[in-house]
Amino acid sequence: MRRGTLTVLLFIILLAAAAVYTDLPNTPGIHILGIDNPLTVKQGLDLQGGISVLLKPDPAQHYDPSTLATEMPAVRDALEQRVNGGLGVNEPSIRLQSSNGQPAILVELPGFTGNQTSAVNSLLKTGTLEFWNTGSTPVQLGTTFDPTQYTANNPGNKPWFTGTNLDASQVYVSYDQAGRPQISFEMKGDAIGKFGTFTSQNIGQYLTVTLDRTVIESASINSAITGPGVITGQFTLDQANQIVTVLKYGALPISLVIDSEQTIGATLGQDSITKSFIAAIIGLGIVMLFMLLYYRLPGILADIALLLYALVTFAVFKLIGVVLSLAGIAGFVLSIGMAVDANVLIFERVKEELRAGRLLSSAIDVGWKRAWTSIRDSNISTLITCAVLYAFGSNFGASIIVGFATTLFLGVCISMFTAVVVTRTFLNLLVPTGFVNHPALFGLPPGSIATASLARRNSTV
Amino acid sequence: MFNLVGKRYLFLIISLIVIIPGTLSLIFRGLNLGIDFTQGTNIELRPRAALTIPQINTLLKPLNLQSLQVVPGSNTSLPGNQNIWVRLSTRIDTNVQDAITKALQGKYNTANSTLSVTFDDLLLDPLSGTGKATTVTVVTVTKFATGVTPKISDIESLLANLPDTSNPGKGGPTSTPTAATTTTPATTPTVSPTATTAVNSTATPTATTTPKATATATGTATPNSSPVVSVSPTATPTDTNPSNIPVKVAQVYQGATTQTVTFLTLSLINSNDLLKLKALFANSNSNYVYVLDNATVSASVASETTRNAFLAVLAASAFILLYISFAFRKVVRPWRYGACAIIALLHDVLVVLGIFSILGWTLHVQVDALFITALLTVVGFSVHDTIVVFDRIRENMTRRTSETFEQVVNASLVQTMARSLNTSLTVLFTLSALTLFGGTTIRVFSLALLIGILSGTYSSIFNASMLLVMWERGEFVFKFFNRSKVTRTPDGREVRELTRTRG
Repeated sequence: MRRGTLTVLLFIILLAAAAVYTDLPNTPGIHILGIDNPLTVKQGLDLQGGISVLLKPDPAQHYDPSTLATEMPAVRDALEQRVNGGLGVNEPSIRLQSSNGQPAILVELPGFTGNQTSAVNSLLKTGTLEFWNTGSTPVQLGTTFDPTQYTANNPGNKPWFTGTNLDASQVYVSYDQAGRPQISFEMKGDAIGKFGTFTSQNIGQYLTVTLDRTVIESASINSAITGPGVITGQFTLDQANQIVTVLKYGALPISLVIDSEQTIGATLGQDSITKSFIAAIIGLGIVMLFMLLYYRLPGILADIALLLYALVTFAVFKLIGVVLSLAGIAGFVLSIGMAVDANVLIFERVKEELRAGRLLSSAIDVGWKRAWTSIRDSNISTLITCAVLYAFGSNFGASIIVGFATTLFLGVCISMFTAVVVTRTFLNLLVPTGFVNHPALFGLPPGSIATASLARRNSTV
Repeated sequence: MFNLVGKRYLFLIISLIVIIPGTLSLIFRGLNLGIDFTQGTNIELRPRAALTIPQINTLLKPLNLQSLQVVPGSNTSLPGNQNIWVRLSTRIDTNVQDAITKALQGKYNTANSTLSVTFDDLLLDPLSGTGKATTVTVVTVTKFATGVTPKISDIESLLANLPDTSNPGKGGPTSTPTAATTTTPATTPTVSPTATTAVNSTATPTATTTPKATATATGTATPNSSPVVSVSPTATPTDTNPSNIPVKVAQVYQGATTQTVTFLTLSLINSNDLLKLKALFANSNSNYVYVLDNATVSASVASETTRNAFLAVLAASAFILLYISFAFRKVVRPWRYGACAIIALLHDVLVVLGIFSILGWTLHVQVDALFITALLTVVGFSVHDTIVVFDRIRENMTRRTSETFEQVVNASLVQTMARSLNTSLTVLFTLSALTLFGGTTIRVFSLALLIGILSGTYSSIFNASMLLVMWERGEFVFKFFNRSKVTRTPDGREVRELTRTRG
């Protein structure tokens, strides 16, 4: 038995256990180390319904119609990005609409539970982050900031820096020594130098940060900030996450108000969920049966790997909160069919090597090695596609493309692991026992697995 | 061994037979775009009593709405009992409308709420018994102040003494065909005395009572009298246009649900359609509706998304070309493999797009947002599949140095055939399970994938490798790409360049 095989086996067993724990319908969830994930399946609008909010431009702002006409599509895209976060797996439906010539945005969010109003309100924050110099006085957090009081320090009542000066990729939630959430940020481009100069010239002064003109931070500048900075504020984790989301995906050019809000039911209902569940089971069953009948013993191992694939993928979906609509489930079922590809490649190769007269263990070795280049190149090309789609989708605000890239990427990685590593480990464990040297176990005619003496002549790889 | 390479023209022609009509259809007819890609109408209703999706679908059927999508919901901020519908005995003019609005708002308006009172002339079935449908006015009352629960009896007493109405439908453009048919000459003799009384006397008590009696008779007396007579009471005034038809409240309804029904359709809905829709609901168990919102909505998939998906696939193709050139660097002219893999990819995309374009105008198959996902899956699968075949060619090129390129490619195809077919089979198994058991909503998705996977398998076996051979031999357009002609040995066999490395 190879060194390390048992270690890998142990890892596989632990992985399977973790996946099963995550997949259990009434799993207790993960609540350790600051992670708070209830591990519930998020179902899409079609399966579970959600909330529907009609947003209209804030009438108090008196936007003129031409501004609205040009800016509303951008607002729509920004909202879509905010709802989706980075992964594009939340499946909202966001439409521009116009009733009697009045533009509005209809947002439908799937499976919303908890505090809907606060969630929707954070979605609506225009997200204008501004940095002010408030001289030697700190400003009370949570108060509305009035720039006219600080004209002396802020020429023209204009902030020194705004959210657009931030490097979006460097804005994230971090924790201070006491474990309180804070927001880390970094400036970008010219602003890096300007921010350094500004902070070095104003040591001892109070830097006040406002979000939509509400003070979220007012701290004295201790030293010049030339690299990353933090906004400590007094946030809950949720608040910090909301602010980061708003900062990452840009400010809304138009401020919106909620016109009406309603909960919406599932369009498909329990019937469809049951149907797709049955389809998934049948699909999985047929693939497993096929592998078993065609490849015999290795087929059984591939089936175990396939089950593990399904368990792990579903667990990862739950972990990162992929919203499963009917289409998502269909994609998942489809990936089961594709996940066996690596196994098919390897087993065909092993069979070939066995037919060529190799000894079983060497056929497995050689088959694996030769199939590996195919598996590697084909999967890398798929991963390249994922990366390009992800980059395009997230840069241009097309969440449907991002979501696809995310799930495909996960599927490819997990299937490579289960099909290549898991199956191999099982075979490594079985072959030395000598029980599996019968040709029929590999779907070959009797006598086609060479005996040791015969195979020696071409056993070098 | 099968000589697949020898039949390469046949395989290419089969591909072209599918692609050329599809591409032409795509150019001239485009795709039949569903609601995800085009604008449509979004209507939000509050029914009087809760309805199920199948009931709503059945109700909306006569309107013939394109790609209808019904979403039930609930809006608790508007309590069910704050929706009131008043069915009047006849159509009313603006004069009476003002009186009704004034009466209702006088009682229910508060400092910070204005009652909403709207009027619709609907073609409704009689309240009881059988008979012809007549056009009457239905008053929709809503937006009561928070906490106020209107009582049916209050509304009835408020509207007990309404002024008479002239006939607003006379000659008006909104008069419905059914209203026109009621003016049959046959009915005139029976009721002409009543009609004349009404016209001659302006506001005498007798005049008001007589038509009132006939108006109520519309509903109740119908079964006893012949259909012709039953229509006459309303028909004759319509015909002669009296200035004072009395107005009575026929029935008051109060909402009993917080349900909202939202539906999305490709069809544009004008005010006439909206009246038809309201009548359809009202005629089914008196389930009157209040239209909360009627808006034109844009696509849920932004137009740039589609364009970006397309550009992303192009960019991905370029990267794949680079990667394959790198991965195949040990064989000669590695970039040819990349180029052929990309051509096979385009082939598969064109096949799916083309077939759906044709299905769009023949079988009215519409594409939705999932179609983009399906196409992207096909792109991934296609390259994946092609590379597996190419990998075998790469391996065999380094081993079978004495054979011609065609022979090597042919051997590689035969060797990978089992794998190609098996992988496609497992995918087709799951797809068939989805199509057969997964319900109707993902049928377009499954179909697109089914076509795409079949095409992907076909193109990786029969196109990509064949193109490599043609390129190597400088056939067709490829001769412009080849700088040197194939050199041949004296016995006519071509001499293949040796690979740089062996084993």
